[in-house]
Amino acid sequence: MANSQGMCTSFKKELLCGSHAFGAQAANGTRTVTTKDVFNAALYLATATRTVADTTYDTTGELAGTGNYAQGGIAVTNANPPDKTGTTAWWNPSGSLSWANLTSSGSFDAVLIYNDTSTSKLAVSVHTFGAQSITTSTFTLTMPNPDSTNALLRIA
Amino acid sequence: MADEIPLIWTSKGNVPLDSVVQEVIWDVQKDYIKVVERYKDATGEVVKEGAHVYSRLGLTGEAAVASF
Repeated sequence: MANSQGMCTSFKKELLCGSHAFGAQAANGTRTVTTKDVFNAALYLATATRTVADTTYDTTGELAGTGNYAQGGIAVTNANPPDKTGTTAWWNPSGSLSWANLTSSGSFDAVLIYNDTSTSKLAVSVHTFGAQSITTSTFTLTMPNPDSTNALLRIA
Repeated sequence: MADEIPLIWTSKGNVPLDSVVQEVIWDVQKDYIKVVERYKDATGEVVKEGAHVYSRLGLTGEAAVASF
């Protein structure tokens, strides 16, 4: 089995249900919550099976909580609200994801973005980047350009 | 100062920089560019390895609507 990247199917449904807030929204007739959610990024072993069928975050296949890795991952920096250009809406983290002085518990090749604010830790997307192990060093994921062509999440 | 030996932090603690061999590996793909920086000691054991991935392209969800 292997990890495969994609936007989680359950996430698409949850967008229609208003389950995720990547940016703050004004209070209106049906919603009073005006704060955005916190999204986390967790790393998964190359032997794991994270796919678009994932519905929630879990520790199955995640890096062990050793070597300066904390299970659950790290918060995604989210200073910029979603935007739109032309007919495409998009969202991009505003900073890189970085694990310093890391020694990974094995070879890993995927990151799961999930909604840490949601009660059940709803899955958003899986991104793969080829396998590597980290030993006493830093692993960094630098985000794509924040635009309608490259952003991490786009709805066209 | 001139006699000081630079050290590097590894899985075996601080070791002289000249006791390890550095390898830099680039992996250029359509979706990402990755650079791996690896250090091996005299026995060939990897004592330090970091990686930096630049995601070039995120994911697109296609919006679909039905026509009446």
